[in-house]
Amino acid sequence: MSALPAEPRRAGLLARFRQDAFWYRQRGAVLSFAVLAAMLALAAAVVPGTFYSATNLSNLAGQLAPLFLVSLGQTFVLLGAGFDLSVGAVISLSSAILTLDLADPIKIPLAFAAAATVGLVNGWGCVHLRVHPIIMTLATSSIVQGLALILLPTPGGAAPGLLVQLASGTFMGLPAGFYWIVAGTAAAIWLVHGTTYGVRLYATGQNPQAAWMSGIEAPRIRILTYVISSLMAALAGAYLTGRLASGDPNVGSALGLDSVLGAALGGTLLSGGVGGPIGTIAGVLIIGVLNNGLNLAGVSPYYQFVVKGSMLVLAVSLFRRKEAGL
Amino acid sequence: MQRGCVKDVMAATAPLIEVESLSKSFGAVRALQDMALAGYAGKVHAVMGENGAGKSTLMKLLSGVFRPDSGSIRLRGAEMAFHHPRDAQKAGISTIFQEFSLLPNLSVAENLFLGRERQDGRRLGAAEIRRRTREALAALDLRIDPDWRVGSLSVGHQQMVEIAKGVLADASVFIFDEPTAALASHEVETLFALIRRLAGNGKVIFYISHRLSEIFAICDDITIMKDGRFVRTVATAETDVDEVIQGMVGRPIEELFEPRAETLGPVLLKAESLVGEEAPKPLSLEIRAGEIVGIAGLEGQGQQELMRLIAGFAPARGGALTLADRRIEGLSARRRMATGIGFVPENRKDDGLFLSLDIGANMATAEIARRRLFGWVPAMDARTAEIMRQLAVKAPDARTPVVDLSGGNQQKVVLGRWLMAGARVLLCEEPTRGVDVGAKREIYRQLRNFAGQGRGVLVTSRELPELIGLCDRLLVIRNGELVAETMAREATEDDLLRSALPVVESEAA
Amino acid sequence: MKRILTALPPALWGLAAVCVFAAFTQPQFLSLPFLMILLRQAAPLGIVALGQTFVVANRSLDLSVGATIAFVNLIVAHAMWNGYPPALVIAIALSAGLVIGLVNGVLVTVLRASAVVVTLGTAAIITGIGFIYSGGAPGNAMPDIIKWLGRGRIDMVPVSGLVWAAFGIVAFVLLRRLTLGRYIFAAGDNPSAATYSGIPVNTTLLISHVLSGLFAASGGLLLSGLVGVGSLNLGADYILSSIAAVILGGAVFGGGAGGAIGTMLGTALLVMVLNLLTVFGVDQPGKLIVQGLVIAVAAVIYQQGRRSG
Repeated sequence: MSALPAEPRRAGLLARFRQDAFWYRQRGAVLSFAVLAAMLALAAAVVPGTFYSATNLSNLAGQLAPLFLVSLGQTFVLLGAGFDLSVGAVISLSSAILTLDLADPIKIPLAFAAAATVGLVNGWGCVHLRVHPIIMTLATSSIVQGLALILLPTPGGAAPGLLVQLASGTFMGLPAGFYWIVAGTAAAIWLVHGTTYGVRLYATGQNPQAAWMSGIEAPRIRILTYVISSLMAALAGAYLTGRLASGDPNVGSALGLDSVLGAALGGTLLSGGVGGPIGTIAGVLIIGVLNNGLNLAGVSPYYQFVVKGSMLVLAVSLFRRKEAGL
Repeated sequence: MQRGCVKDVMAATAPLIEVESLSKSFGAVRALQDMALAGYAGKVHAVMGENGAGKSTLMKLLSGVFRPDSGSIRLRGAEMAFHHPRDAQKAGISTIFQEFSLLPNLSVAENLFLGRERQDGRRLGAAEIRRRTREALAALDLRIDPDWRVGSLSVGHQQMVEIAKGVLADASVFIFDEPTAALASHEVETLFALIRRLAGNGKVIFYISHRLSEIFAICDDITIMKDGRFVRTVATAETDVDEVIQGMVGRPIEELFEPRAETLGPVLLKAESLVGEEAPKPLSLEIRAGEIVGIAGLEGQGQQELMRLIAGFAPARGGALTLADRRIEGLSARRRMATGIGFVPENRKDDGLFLSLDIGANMATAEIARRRLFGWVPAMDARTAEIMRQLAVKAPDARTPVVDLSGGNQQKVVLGRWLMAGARVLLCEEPTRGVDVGAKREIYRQLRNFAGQGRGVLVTSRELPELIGLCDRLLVIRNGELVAETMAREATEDDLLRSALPVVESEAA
Repeated sequence: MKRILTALPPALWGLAAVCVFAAFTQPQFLSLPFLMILLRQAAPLGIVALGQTFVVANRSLDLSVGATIAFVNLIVAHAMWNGYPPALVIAIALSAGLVIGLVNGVLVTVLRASAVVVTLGTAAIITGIGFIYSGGAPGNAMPDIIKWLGRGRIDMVPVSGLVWAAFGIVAFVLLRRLTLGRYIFAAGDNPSAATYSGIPVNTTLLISHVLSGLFAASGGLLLSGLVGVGSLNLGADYILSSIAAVILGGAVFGGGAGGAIGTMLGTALLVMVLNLLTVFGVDQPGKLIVQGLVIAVAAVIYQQGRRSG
């Protein structure tokens, strides 16, 4: 039988990012880590003593933990070619539920169950009712925020003691936030790179129809991304509630968009199927180091809005898509 | 599934897979009616029919993509009900789709094991998946790294990966849907060798293709379909090309076409050594008023690049393009369209139609596009109605959404768009793709009418008989170069294929 | 007949239902004076939503409208304009909207970046610039003409209602009478097919974003006039509401449906529902829930209708 000639292995490091499937999907992450390294070097040059002090790094870990969790959750949705604008509201809702006047063993599971329900509704609407993810999650975001405000009209209430313990102080010399980050990141990386769900998610995000024809339950995979995203948001809400030791019905409002920023800066494409949680680590750290560095350098918070917005635009401009629009 | 001795004996005489009175409708369209088909172990079985005859529907029913309305699929005598492609795959039916179901961003190994990472009740580790992938690839004489991204492989290799998927799943039925459409000729040889080997191992092969020469080269039996129905099954050895065509078309193929142009006008469109980014070799051709010129060639030889270079979607890098004495190579696609170029893209649904807009809006786009951005929209209802009448578009009125139309009527809407815009030269990719026989004839007639009004048409098509019947003159494209020219009335499929094949092969032949 | 029914915007049925409901439960709600108050309140949102219609019909989205409104408000309320002609202040405010729309449009078309992220990004940038410009302390030096535009009346009719109507006519002409509208609906439905028909897809999308920016700034001007002072967070809830109004009006990312009239009806429905809730004592959280439900239900109904037809 006349065989096909061998597919040539292309030389060079760059070729690897085109030919090797893993590196192709992680090429954005590599870029993000390079940017992060440059920023860390810059911090060492500009604000060395203050940035690399133990207090500052420990503060940073504490501040970044919620963003880590939601960005990792958002990464799943983006990998599945979806979009979840409701995570901010879910954080607020879980904060409201966790400070209800109920017993801890009831309200903690309740917060996560509520989040999972929101995720299921989002997934169901986007996948089976075929509503555009942006519209669907915008709508649920409004509903969930309303619920949070009904349950907890103003900041206050008592956080479960367990969460206060888990989210504050230090353990073995490292701040509590650090452990939340490690646990969340490890779980996300394990799900994407260590389970069959991960491969199926990449397949589904790239082409749901082709994935379905390959025997995959593409709809279920996509719905699950929204559930994961909501659960991660609830986890972030739990952390914030524990850290503040009280509830706040608006605590998540800024984190919704930042979660997209974290994932996008980490090289996860909004069109699905490319990127992953490893890059999101770099993406979130870039945001954190930037905010922190600007603070330390004495830049007004007003300018930080401008910087953050510019970075968001820059991050999505790096990867040109086929068509313009949503 | 049990496979005792008794069943093995049966397998020698009874079909391994059998389809009986299978029917499927989409809305009012009966895609398949009372279809019958039987596949025997070790046999390569061709399924033939015109576009729209129901082959794809049949294959999608067999592979679990669609569910039948009625009828039965029996595998080794057991009734099958597929609710999901996975069910068909588990039962041992592997389909190599024309539009691959591979995921380009996944690695070869990931693609091969997608959806079956669990085997024998346990999860396969990455190392084991890689090892098994290497084995499966080696069994097919493929030298590909399991970690490579499928999207970085050649089309031929991608198809082999699809086949490897079936081999790995130990499928007993393989369905090939137009497998050679995108392959170079040496890849076709490899594929045929592989198909023979699969048949030798006792697999059932269903082979769908338009290419008669291939069918007669490789298939044992031929089942002919027409208008969603079973026509007959014959042994390849006992039939010939004419009989097969007669069965598919129901009439001699010549009757589909209009008479060719008797007199031609002046040159309308002229390309001289035109070079583009994607088309590096200089291209020269001319089209006269009243003439239909066809571009023949194997798949992916630069037909699309040529059309898009002339239409202006790929900028020209050199050479000249003249439309009725006006140089247009420097103009954007939009300006070229305003000067009288029309373009009918191959992929009608993705690139041609506005599916949620109505017929009127769809037909008006090109005419509107010629106008100023802030100009008034003229009243077009009368003109739309007239063109719909002229093209015999089957729809109640211009307010009907195009999504409700059949493939043929949709294509007429796209043609109507350029009639309305007053295009002088129409560039038409695959004019009858996904169109039933009746509508084909209509479209041929409309293209001929269009040319008859002193305009020109340039057509590409995968189907050589269509090009020969429809066109006045044919150009053969090979590897991005126009290598031969012949008058259509003197052209034969064999001659065209000979010019279209790569040089090495044609010398050997 | 079925086609005619589905072609009508969902808002029309909703509006009819709300009116019937109000007639039985709160008849004073439908009195002319009260409706005029509603009209004045609806006008700023109505104009912003008309702008949003262009981008949504063009298969894009503008999430920077809220920030644009806030920015316009900070401009017109700033003390630095004391002594300048009000026309200049208005012109500057509108130019700001135009520039924002232009930047959005360029980023979305030239860089082909996702419109959602781009407009979120520009929203953050504009918000930051607004804070820097106002020093975090918004002024309250607003020209009287802007206040008149926002809350003035001619007889019983609010000026802002007339302005809204004028913008509605402009939007209707642009979308349904000029070639631009055909381009927008074609490019919104299938950008690829639009390109192959010779439609300037990128220019069209750019203009849609510019129009959205301009309309948002105009709505911001009316809202500023209505509020009468500078405020840091004006217009934040207009992002969601404008999208809701467009969806209720029948336009969904490239579907060929909807338009100026639909969006105006959608705005009217939304404002009616929210005010009716107020009458029944439902406060902000309840309104958020109702608004979310309305968007979701409208989107689902529209999507189901599309799939079957």
